[in-house]
Amino acid sequence: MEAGAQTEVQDRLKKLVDRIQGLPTLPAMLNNINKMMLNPRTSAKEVAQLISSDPSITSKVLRVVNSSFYGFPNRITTVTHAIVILGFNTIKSIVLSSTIFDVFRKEVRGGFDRQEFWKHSIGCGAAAKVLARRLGFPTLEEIFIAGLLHDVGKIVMDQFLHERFAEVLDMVRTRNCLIVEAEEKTLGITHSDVGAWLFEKWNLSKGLVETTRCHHNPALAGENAKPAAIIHFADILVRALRFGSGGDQKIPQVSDAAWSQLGLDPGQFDPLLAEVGEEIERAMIFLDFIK
Amino acid sequence: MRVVKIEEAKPGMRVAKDVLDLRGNLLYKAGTEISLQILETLRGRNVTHLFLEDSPGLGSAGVDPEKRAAEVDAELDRVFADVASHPVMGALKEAAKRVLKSKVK
Repeated sequence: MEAGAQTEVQDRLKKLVDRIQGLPTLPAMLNNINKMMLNPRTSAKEVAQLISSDPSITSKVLRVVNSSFYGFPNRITTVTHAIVILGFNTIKSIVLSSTIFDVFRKEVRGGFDRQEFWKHSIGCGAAAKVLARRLGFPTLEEIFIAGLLHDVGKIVMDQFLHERFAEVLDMVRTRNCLIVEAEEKTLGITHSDVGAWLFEKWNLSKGLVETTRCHHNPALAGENAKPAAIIHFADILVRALRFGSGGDQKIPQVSDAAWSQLGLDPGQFDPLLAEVGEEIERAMIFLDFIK
Repeated sequence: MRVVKIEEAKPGMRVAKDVLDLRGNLLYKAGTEISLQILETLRGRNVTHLFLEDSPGLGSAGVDPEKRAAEVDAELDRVFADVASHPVMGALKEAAKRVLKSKVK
């Protein structure tokens, strides 16, 4: 996108998000974990104490770390043990996704089906993890979370800009187009812009911001073009498996730039899709977060 | 296999995975047939979702595999309609059909 067009998108985004009132702030727990992790002298025990102060998050962390998603043979019974085995970053990712599910729990009447939305999101995270593993990508956990949260902008719009988003969903229904196409026509910005704006506002990592912003056009993600290509194709794979729904009933075409970044062989799609299906089953533990 | 909210589960359906309570204790083994009493117990233990067998949805086991396979073909032809002429997308559509249909046999 040219610089002028990019500025126009930012202007339209600003006008739209300025109307948002009561947007939740990032829960204090995550801010505190972030601060603690910046200090190299922070111990696992200190982070565990902070997490353990919230019984709901503690129970979610322990359920996820003991699920087949991580597949440890022995039961992990304390948060300290979980941190020692899985590392600060993984635990932070679990807390991040759990709190974001919590923040956007409220279903809006006439909005889209949150259960199907989160299933699509979990599916995309799982597919991204499989792709990243096959490509020898080093940070599987971050890629999973980027897949899990790539469409959060849709929920922000559904919840806080409900009437404008209802127009988008109407266009999707009447024209049978992709949500991203209806957003461009109706609002001039997309859920990718809104999601990236939220993550920037919350000071989340640049990688997460850029993969979210560019998951429909990964070539624009600069140094994050490869992870963005992974999320882009993971979204396509999970749609092909008809698992969950991000609110539309079509499959976007793979970007040529993303396809060459990934270097996949179409002759291997059958085992790839089967592996994604297995990973999705393991990742379904994350649906617990909307309880 | 599919995930349903507890309110949507009906007696006679079967759970596809072991059902655990919030503490991870086993309540019912995979394959257990749901009864009204079981539903009441699950609500009492704050279980909100279940994995169930025999989904009537796409790509899952059912009574009429041929009909389901035809549904898979029709569904994927529909959602891929605008992009199937792209070689990568066409190959993906056919692979997805094979993978989903292998689950309904």
